Amino acid sequence: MRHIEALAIALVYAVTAALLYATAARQVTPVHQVSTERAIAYALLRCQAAPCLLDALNRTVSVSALYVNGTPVASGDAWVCYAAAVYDPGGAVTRVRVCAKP
Amino acid sequence: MQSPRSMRGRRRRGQFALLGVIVLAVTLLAIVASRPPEPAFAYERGPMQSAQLIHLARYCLAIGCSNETLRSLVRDLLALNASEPLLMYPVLDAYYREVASSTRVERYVFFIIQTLRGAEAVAFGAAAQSSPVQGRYERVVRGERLIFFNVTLTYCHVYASPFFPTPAGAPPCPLSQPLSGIVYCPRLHDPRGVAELTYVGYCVWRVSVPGNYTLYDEFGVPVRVVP
Repeated sequence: MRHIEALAIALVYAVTAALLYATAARQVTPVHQVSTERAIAYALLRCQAAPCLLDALNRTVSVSALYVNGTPVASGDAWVCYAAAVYDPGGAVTRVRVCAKP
Repeated sequence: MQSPRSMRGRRRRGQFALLGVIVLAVTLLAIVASRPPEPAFAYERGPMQSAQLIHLARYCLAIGCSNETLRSLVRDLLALNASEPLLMYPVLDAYYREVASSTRVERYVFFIIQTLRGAEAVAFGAAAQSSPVQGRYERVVRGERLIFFNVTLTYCHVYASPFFPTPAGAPPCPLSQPLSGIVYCPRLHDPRGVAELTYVGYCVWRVSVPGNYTLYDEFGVPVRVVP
């Protein structure tokens, strides 16, 4: 009986350790999301047309997924996304949704 | 007096109960761990939303701004906010103001937004100030003889928001209503190719224009020059 108990407790210990390790390994860091938001702010201040904004974003942030007016331009993991509306006096309003790489 | 046999049986039942508790705890932990982890993303709000409003204000100036136009644009933006993650703060009020004199034109757009701190203002200011005429000359443009006036033009934008830093050493912007924020010197151009423009620095341009003339900045905002 004591052998069975010892085996059960050892099994429980091993399973618990494995679960805790798996949970810890799946955590992500949100640092890049902050820089994405700042990059969009900078691009909005700097640009008044969609090509300018997309160029500014490509140079400042590693884009994972990108949608222009709902159409995917670059598809990837969409963790947390931010959007901006680009108002071009010579054209229409363009919706840009940017998702950054984790 | 309990017999040793009954005491041993009670201890064994206690051990099984303890084992049951451990198994239950591990099962609960497994259920929790099997759920997809919710990453601790902190949406940052402030700079992007302020920049979006200033971007909108510039557009309003470019298409010919009025309070009605501005409020209509804000309504459209907030409607878009419902379907796209713009994460806009509620805009409590928005208004446009223009102050003009013989040598200076100032245009302001104010937004009152509801942040976590309360009602705060995001403001956009654009100033164009012309110097007195410093010289004149004649030039033939596309077969037409025109008199050009040399003036010095100071043209700048100020982007003010509680979320923007105020960089030190920014060039002064001739706004009668002082705004504390980012001062930007936009590039000017003449789509008709008639005026002559030379950038001096610190938002100052040397401009030659044939009388009252409209230039455009890099954002499409018209800039009136009155020599």
